[in-house]
Amino acid sequence: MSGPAALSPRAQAALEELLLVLADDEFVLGYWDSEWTGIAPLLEEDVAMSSLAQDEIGHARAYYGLLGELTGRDPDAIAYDRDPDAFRHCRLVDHARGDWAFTMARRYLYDTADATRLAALAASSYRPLAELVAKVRREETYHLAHADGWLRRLAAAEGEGRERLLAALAALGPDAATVFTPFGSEGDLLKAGILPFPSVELERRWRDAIRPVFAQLGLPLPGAAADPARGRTDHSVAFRWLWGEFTAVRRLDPAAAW
Amino acid sequence: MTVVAGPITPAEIWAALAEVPDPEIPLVSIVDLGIVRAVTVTRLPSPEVADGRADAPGGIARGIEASDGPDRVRVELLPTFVGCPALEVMREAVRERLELLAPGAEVAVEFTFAEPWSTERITPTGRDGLRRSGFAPPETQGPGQDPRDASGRPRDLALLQLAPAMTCPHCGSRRTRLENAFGPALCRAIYHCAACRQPFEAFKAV
Repeated sequence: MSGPAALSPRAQAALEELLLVLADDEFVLGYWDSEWTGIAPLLEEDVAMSSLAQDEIGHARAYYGLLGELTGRDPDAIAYDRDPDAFRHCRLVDHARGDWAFTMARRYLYDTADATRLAALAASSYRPLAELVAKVRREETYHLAHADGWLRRLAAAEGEGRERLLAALAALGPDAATVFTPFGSEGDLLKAGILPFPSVELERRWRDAIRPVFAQLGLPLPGAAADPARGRTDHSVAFRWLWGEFTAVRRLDPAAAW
Repeated sequence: MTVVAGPITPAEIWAALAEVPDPEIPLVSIVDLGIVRAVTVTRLPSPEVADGRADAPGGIARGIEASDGPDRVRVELLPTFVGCPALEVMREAVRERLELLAPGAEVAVEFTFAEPWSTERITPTGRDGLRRSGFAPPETQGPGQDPRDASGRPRDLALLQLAPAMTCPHCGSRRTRLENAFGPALCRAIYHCAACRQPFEAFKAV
């Protein structure tokens, strides 16, 4: 399908849900990452986290842009004018920033899961999404290499570094698989070929991809999602605080250009 | 700078775009960076043509030639990085240059992901301009690492990686090492040269 005009109403509604999920995941994680600007443990990582955050928020802008083409809404309005309860990011990115090990553990879990999801979406029947995903995947390759390097470094560290990594994985493990929380409209996405594989299949592929790494590093593999049905709702107090931060300028002056 | 009065050609537009520099690297044009994907020109019929009166006596006398409708110029640009903050600056720079080139033309400047921008699109002139600006251009990939297959489609992402060492743009030494895969702009990484003891930025292969 070359564009919005080729979609059935049911497929369009399902695609809107998918785009919101993709955008919100990147948007919220990007804002958490941006909190490291100025306070990261190394200057190099300060630059890296700022760059990662800029990438993710840029990806979110592009997904909101595709959503805007379908709904006629301004991408900025979608991003900044919604109540916190209307966000559809997964529980994995709902946690507060945490310490450095927590940030790297989450980035590893998210980047590997997102890579699995994007590999499937690169073959989406909705061409504007497949084209965007092809570009995003090339950039995410560098994110994955960064997170992979840090997971190995922390796992190999003796004492505090490894302990903090294990604590982070214990806290995040039950929420890692919420990246694959099935959509209400997933049947419509599959039928239209917009999502080429069901979420359960994507989750299986993700586990297959990370299992050897976790085994090699002696780390506990994340379990099944604690509450999969609510993996993208019931947001945390931490997210509500973040929402207050990232909407502050917009709420002060909705017409401001910045 | 050329200003064209009559019908405008794609070649004239490409030449004008070659005068539009990258917002951060003035020595390199957006054409040499491979950002311009396509240029199309459509000649819109003038109202007289549309009304079938172009050849009417009086048409020429009123100074209106048969093909005197406005040009519709469409330029497709490829974002180097999806989140690049310079995209709108580039769009405006292209629009301004084309409106100067062809006053009255309808100019549409669009970003597209129809094909992913890749560092392979940077021309030899562009690579030279990067070097002269103090940036290491992306390393040319060996035959086994060509990021595009025979039909020009991007190959496996596993081939995208940063070289452990790049040629220093200041002194030409290979005694350099990767300091940070991330730099002051999304498209760049930071290296350090052991020979001249200078840090430098290199373009990431994407």
